Amino acid sequence: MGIISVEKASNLYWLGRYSERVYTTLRKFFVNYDSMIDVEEDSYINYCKEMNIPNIYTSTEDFSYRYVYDTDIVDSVFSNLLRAYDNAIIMREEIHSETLAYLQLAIYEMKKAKHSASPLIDLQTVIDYILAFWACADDYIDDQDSRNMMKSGMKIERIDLYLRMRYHRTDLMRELKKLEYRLDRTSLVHSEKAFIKLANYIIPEEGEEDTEISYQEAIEAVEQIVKI
Amino acid sequence: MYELTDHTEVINRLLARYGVKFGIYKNNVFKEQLFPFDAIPRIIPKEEFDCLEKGLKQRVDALNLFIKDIYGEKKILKDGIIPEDFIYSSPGYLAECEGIVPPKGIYSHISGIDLVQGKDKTWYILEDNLRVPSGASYPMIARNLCRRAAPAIFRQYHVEDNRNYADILKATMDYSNTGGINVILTPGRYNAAYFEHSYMAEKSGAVLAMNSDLIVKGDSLYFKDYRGRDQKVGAVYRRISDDYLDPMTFKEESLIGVPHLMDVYRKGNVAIINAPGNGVADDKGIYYFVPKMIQYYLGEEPILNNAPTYLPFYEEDRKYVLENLHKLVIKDVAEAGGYGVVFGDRLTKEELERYKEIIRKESRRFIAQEVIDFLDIDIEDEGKVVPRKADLRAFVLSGEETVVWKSGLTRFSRNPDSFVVNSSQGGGFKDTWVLSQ
Repeated sequence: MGIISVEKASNLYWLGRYSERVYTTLRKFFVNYDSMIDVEEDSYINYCKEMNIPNIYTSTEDFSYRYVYDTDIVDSVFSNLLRAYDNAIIMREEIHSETLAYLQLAIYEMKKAKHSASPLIDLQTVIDYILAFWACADDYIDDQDSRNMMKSGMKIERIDLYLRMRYHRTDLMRELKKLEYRLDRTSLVHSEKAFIKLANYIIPEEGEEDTEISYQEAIEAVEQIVKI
Repeated sequence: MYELTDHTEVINRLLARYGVKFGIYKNNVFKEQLFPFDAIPRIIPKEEFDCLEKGLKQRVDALNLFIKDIYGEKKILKDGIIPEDFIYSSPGYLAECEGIVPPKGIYSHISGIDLVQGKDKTWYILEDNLRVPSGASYPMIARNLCRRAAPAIFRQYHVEDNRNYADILKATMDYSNTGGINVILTPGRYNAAYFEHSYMAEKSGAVLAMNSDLIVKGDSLYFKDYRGRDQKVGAVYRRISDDYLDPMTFKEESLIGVPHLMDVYRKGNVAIINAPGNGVADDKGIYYFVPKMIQYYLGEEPILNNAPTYLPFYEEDRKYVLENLHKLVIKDVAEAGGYGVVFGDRLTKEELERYKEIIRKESRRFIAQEVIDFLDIDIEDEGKVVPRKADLRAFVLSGEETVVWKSGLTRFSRNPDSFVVNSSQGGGFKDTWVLSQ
């Protein structure tokens, strides 16, 4: 279509961010869930600290259930999935019904997982649907700029989360490149200055490859890149 | 076609996949519900539909002439065919629309005409919806999924393809378009028919817009593009009611309207689909006069019947209604969506007396109709085929020509004792097959 209002540009960007948030936090949750079985039962406490979300959970079981499924908790995975859907549903004519359907299916699957004896198995399907949603978006969104608006949101969210999760510099450098590619190809208003600042935190000076990234400062920089 | 019931579950699952839902407010809380689909289609033979088609075109053409007359010369009033009072006391009459001639002179571009079929197979018009009739998207997507689930059945029957609705809609918008893009104006995500707004935008290629996306500059309406290239709008298929369309002309507290839209419309620089002020013609009280309109404007006898209707406004009718209230259905003209409909035979003695009193005091507020013995149609209920009451919403689109969509929304009551088929009251829907031979 190619005609995008200010509001829809914002919806596309946030659709990218929320869908990425669901995807990355679920993947991280899988790792944590495994560790909480018999290695580090209260690793969720550290997770909440890293993600800067309030630790309102009383136990590993409480975290494993409510952090994923409780829609009264704004940071829960399900709440983020619903926010992705809220942004997608008003973009039907831009992203197409086929694409939107995958988020709808992810919601049904999330509801199913909530009552499942093996939630991780059903949650894997949620991840599958998010991946299918992105693939479908790639195929169905005709307007390149619209695709790049959504993908800019995805890449910014991914770097933000990776920084919070203290990912290695190599991973961050790879994601930074992808973000640069998208920003160069979108009309989304963004701050070149903030991007350079972020790049300076992530890309090491020669001989400083092993130094620790200033994660907190980098998170602040990534949040300054797009203001919409 | 009963074989389709083997696929009911899978079709409903696919409808859920595509988010085919309607919104409903209960105790001020918004909830989205799936619209239950029954796979047994309503079948209309070709000859029967040909007759319906002629009657519907005739009716909608007369209604368009009526609206033009009311906001123009008012000949039908001067000639005493309809009492003036019925027009000026109608909540659908908008004095602000006086003298406005819309682009191409079309007022009702998309008309949703509700019909029922009696046991003698006679079709009766129940009501005309000329403001923002909804529902075409449901059979349109359901047909697609049914064909996917059971292709062999569609090889066997010769069914008119109904998936062209969005193309007819686009042609209708294009015809009245004054130059610019087509937009569908939605009040937003939490509207009951939001699925339809977004689906029609996708399928017709119109831009789905909220009021904040639109702006009046000079004498034109524009869609505010993110990249700073504002797009001139030539046609607005608005899915919000007249009262909220333009806060500068109608309700000033409206937060979903477009300020000064009516100024652009008045100058003929944008088509509003459907035209504001159409409510004067789909008022339940005006319904009584539609056969007279057909005779007056077209010089023809109505092809389709109204359900036998009485207007308590007229003394003779009032007398009949008060004497026979126990066997009539009473409709409050201000209500819609199946609300305000009361069956006299279900009222207690005290309730009947209370209604009689209200009818005496507010005779303009009600119409009364004979209860039509509906032809029940089959639905599947917990694995069994059972008869239920159903209506049909036919869609008539007026562009270069008046076109009747060869399908329609068949809504049915899931409750065996109910005549009310509205989705907001728990009804389901079916596909409507018009046979091509």
